[in-house]
Amino acid sequence: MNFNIAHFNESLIYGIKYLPNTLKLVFIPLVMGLILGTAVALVRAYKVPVFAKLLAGVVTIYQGVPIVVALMIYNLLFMLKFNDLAKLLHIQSSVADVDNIWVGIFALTLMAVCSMSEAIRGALLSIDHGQNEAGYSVGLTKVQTIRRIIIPQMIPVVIPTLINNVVGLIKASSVVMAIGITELVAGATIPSSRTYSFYEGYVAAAVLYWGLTIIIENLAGILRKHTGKFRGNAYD
Amino acid sequence: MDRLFDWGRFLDNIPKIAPYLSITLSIVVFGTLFGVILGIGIVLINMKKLPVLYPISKVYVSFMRGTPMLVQLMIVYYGIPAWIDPIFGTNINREWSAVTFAYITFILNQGAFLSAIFYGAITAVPYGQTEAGLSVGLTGFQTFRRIVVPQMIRTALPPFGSDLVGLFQNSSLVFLVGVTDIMGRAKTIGSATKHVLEAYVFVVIVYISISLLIRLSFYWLNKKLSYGRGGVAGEF
Amino acid sequence: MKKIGKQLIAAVLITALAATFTGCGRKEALANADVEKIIVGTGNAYEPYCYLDDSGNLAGYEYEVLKVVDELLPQYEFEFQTSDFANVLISLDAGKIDIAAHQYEYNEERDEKYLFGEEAYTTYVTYLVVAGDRTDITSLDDLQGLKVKSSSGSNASYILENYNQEHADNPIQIDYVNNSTDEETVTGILNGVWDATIATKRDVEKLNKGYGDGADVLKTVGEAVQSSSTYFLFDKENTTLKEAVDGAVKELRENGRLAEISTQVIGGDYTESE
Repeated sequence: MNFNIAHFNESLIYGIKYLPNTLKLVFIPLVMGLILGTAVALVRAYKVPVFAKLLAGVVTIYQGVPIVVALMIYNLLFMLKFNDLAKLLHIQSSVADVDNIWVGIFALTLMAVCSMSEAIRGALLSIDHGQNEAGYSVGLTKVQTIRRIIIPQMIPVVIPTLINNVVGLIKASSVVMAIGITELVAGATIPSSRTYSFYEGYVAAAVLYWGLTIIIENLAGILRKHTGKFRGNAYD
Repeated sequence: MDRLFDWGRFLDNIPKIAPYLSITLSIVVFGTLFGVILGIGIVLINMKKLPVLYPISKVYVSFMRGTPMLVQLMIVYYGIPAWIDPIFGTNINREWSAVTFAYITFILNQGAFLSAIFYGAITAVPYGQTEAGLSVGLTGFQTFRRIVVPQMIRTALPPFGSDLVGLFQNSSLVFLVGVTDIMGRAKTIGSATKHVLEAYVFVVIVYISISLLIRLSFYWLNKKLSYGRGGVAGEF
Repeated sequence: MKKIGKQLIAAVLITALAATFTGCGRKEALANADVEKIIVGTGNAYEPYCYLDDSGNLAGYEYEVLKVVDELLPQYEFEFQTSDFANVLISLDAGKIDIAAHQYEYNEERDEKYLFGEEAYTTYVTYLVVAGDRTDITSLDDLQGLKVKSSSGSNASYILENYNQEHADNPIQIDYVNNSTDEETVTGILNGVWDATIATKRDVEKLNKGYGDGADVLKTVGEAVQSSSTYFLFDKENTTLKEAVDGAVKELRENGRLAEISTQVIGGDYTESE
């Protein structure tokens, strides 16, 4: 098999052209995932009646669904039912007007909320219960204890797992090509449709993803050093 | 168009899809079993900072973590034989089946991910614990095995469980290189019978059930290993 | 606890070993010294050409034709390997397969990279396909700025990409939807997700039969986008195999077997003209 450099370069350029779509598919779910995920984790860790059990069930079940299948089902329903829904809500739009990237963002957001809530909850659980008691004993309220004692200790623990999640999200974003959204991988293989150099297209996509995650991991490393300053760690 | 969802078709699909579960499971079993071994190897390389191997393992882990599974599958399936066959005079390109390459991809991928999980869990154990062990006269290895590892396992278990669930779901990608797993079978049923939703729904149920089973086992394991110690919220 | 753990590990190891052995067994059974093993690569989701039947076995026109071709060529033994459409040609590139069979139409770029068989085994005339009630589209020019569904590596994509190179100011938006199901195609076009796609008349008839409830929900419009036939593809070097397969296909066409298979599997004789 010959590796065609010219085709590889062309794929690289096409991949970069569609990078903004991948970023959109990562950052919107990431922000939503962090906000909603923290909320879900706190509700579950502090055992808020009814909601804790309900969310535990939903998160556990939903995490069992592969993103590809979820995406396919949402897409099918979106294509079939969106027009009816818009009519019902008296919105002047139809399936044709809505970019289906939003179906991808929707599916990835749900995934992010679940995985991030698990990461954050895991970190919360790693903190000794005595820390809570210590907070109360010096007269802090529950919210103050969470904010000033638990969360600052949780952050250095949660960052590696969270970075795993972000990286996972970046890579999961490639599955949206299954419903015809042109993101990085689909973009990099566009020239391949004409030149039949798919292998070069995939390698170009790999290089771009790799670069992207290396940047993110480096940023995370800086963040981790910064937040974990007070914590001695001989293995780093 | 016919009814979107039909129970008759749903029931018809079950015996057609179920046998392919063995393919999915074999990928998970191979990926986990050899992935754990590989992961431990990489952690040891990282901790001992072995020359040559250490930088190689860094690059390798970074690549595996930084690129989508789909792309890795393509690179292993098409790329590895192209390097190995000319060097060793073998013909694995033709002699190894697609499923063998799928196993290799998942083992390589899992090794990298699990090493990150294990390593993260080790660094989450405060260094004071190691000092305490050394101060009572334990050797470095004894301290690691008796003090660090038991605590590390507790931290590593939840992400390990999620990773296993993720592996299970990612295995649905092997369809692309021609290995028919449950997801692939669902798709082919969709193209042969013209109705895909029922098949997807059944596959979703299978995925959810197995992920619940995995989670339940980890919950049980976690309880066994908690040594009566509670986190912020006690046991979950 | 320890005992259970050991048993679990043993169980897992046995499963793993069993899986390896069944894998090896299959391969050894196929090795035969006298006949050359030829691997045919085809798709797994294009009914009625190449798809998996009720019991999960490869079925369809490509398979039926090549099975008969194999019977005519005692020096070869065909083994079939299915994958996603876009991956069939990569596999040919990578030397994993010897013949690619997936209703491949002729185009220059393919011709440059692969070896085309000379004997066509189906005609393939493609048209623009739109929702039954649309009247605004009759040619590629009408699609400028509109969305067309296609898939990576297809000849339709090749045509659209070439069109866009010439009309870079107002290109057609190409949506690459790989391994989509027919259901998604029909639903998407009817609901306006895509304005059109490119397919043959017989594919449209198939979609209308499957999803139209008797009505023609989709229709072909305008002149043919491309009139071609489909050929098997080979590696550039592999002229011996190509000539052997060409000879067999020629024989099948002349003795009427090819038309018979076409009628049986596709539902009409598409081997000569439409």
